Amino acid sequence: MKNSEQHTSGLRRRTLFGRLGGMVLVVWGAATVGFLALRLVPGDPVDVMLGVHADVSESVRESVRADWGLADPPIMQYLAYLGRLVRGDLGTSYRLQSPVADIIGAQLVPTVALMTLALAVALVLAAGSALLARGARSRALLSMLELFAVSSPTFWTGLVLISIFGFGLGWFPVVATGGIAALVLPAVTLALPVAGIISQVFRQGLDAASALPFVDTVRARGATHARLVVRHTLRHAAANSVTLTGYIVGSLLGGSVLVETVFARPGLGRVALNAIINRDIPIVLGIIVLAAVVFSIVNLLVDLLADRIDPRLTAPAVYS
Amino acid sequence: MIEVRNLRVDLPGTRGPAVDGISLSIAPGECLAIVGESGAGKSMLARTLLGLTPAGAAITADELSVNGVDVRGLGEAGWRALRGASIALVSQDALVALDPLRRVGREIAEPFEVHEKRMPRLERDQRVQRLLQRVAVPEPLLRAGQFAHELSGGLRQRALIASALAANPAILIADEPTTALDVTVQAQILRLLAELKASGIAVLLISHDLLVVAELADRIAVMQRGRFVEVAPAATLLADPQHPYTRELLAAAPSNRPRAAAAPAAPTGATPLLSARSLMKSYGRGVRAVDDVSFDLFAGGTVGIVGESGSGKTTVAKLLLGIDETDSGTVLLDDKPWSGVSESRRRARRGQIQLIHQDSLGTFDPRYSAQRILAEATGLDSAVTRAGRPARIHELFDQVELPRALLARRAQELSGGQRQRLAIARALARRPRVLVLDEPVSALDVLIQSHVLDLLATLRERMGLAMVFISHDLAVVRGLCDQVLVMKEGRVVEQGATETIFRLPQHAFTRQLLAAARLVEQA
Repeated sequence: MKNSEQHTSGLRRRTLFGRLGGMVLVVWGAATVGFLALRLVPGDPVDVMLGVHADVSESVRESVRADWGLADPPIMQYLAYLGRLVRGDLGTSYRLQSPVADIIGAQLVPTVALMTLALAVALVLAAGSALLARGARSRALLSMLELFAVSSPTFWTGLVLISIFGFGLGWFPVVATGGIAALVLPAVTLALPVAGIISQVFRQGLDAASALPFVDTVRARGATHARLVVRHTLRHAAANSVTLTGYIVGSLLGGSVLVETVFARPGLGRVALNAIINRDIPIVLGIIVLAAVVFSIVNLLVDLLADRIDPRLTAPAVYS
Repeated sequence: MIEVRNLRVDLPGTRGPAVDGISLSIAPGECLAIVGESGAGKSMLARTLLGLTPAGAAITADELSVNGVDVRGLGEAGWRALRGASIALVSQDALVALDPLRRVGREIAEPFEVHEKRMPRLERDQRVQRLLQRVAVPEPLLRAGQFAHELSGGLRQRALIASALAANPAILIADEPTTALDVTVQAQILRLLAELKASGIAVLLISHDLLVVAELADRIAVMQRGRFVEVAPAATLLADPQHPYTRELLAAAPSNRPRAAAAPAAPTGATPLLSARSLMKSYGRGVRAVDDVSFDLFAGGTVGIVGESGSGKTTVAKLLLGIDETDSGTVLLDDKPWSGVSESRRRARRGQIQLIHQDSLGTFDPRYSAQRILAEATGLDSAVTRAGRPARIHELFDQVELPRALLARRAQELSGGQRQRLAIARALARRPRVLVLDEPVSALDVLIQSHVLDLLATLRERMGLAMVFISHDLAVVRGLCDQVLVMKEGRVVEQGATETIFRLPQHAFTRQLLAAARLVEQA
């Protein structure tokens, strides 16, 4: 038995290495695609990097050429670019005259705060609705609400929330003021569609788990319904929902573009939007790389969490 | 302990009662066995005694008491007090009957956590250890910290029994407690249940297999369509069955039905249809799944591969089918290389060797009707024109003795036996010369098992099929195969003509398997 335990932990270590390798691969892929896009756009790369409307002196153009080593062969440029990335240097935004890393860093906090609160709200709403609705009628009502939440466009939901809770009831500020109160409406706006999806999957997971054979065993022990859910089926349902939540965190970054625009909040979403409109390619590249990093970290965490929830995932395969 | 008079259970949306006028009583230290096919109402009867009938079930009885409590009209809270503490359940496969995401120790502790007031963690753990010791699980400390899938089938089932015993119930309902187990382990679990019975626990044993219950039961009730057709002391019932259905069940028991054609004499000079030479296969690091397996199979012959789960039987099947590649050694099909050639070269000959699974349900597209399933398979047969397909499908249906009325049904609308026949028909559609059958009847009731085995014997004789028959059930193998391979940990420990091996087993492991089988069979 000792032997098989060692075998199991060996397996887990290997897959952890594999996963870290996969993360590096994803980030590298995103950076490469970004680099290629930059080079494949027809015209002088300097024009591309400076943006269409940029009107700059020849000396700035020369410094761009020097920064990117545009005189070198493309492969050297690519390697130099990767080298800078590894050191955390995302390049310079020539439009905004400052390093990309600084611009992103300055806007990271409001966006991360928004995403974190949105995710928390979504999880609470999803878990609450999935656990509380047991009767057929409350389930039907909730399914309808979920569908409504999922299918409403974010900007519309945001405007409705602003007009009810901002202007109408005056509970929350309408524009960004910096306090936690100003974060509530944007977070709820971002959370609602996500909560709808997670709660559907979570409830399906609970239903599927409650049809498993061990449920009879648990009930035959005299356990209450509450105990059955809390100690048993909840965990089974969580296994799937956790994976889904991981994917959704990635999409929250995209959603924050809309929400930050609607609520006129500072944040990465707006930075990204402006960079795309102005073709400020270094910032776009930086955000692509950041998104890839965030996405792979979240997925790594989700995988590790899923292993904790379901020990069978790391079990050595049984051959017969 | 249990007193039931004239119990009737009606389920919503079904015609006729699921349990119809059942009366029974069980005393402390007594075991009543209920035997019958699936769908006879055995499990519904068990669920009624646990108060776990599906919503909307109508239950009437002149008397229905569990451990002295009249449970007619008992509310959910009343039932909860009984379940686990007075009457406990041990069900079929502990791999799924224990919560797979919780440690075994926590699962075992749950009944007394539910029924008794909070206790310190240390005390709880000690109690779990004692329970594991009571069901003879070695290294209880280690086992309590593991998950169900980390335990062997026998240990898992013991852990499940320990969890049923945790809150000291007076009555144990054992619903097919040994069905998922190898024959050696089956015997051990039955012995454990016998010990519990001797300690004064009343046992209600439910099984489809008369021979399994004979070991343990004081009295046997034979159930058919919701009714007891015969109730008698175990010895009397087995020696002198009164009801025709009981006699049918007894006759169907695998050991009572030889089907083996006389070992087809390997025609001198003839080449074997399928030949395995020194097959080797390892998975991962150093796990030898198959270690030096060789045999020759001639037309009309059947080789049985027996062994416990994990012994490498299924891996041999994969190598024979060319689903998995051998590490070394060769498979010859019709004297031409079958292993080690590219899939594109193998594809043209794939039809010659076909597989039949234990659980065929998963092998059918759930949206396909039986007709369409067979149409897909016959579509691969160049000898059948598009216009000739319906006739060929009818022919296949007739060959496996399925009524044509079932052609429009989907697999999940067929019974287990019908499904297995459909799987055989699908295999026959490719006009195979070799069938590889991996536990083809293990999921079926004895009676159905017997009918499917009869069909296989008929087909073998009529079409000259050669078969590789993988099973953990020695009696079934003895009835059908002319040569046998006994496998243990990937190795063939004994190989030879069936009768020789069953009469004069050489290897200790073979003797152990046979002894266990006989222990279960002894009536």
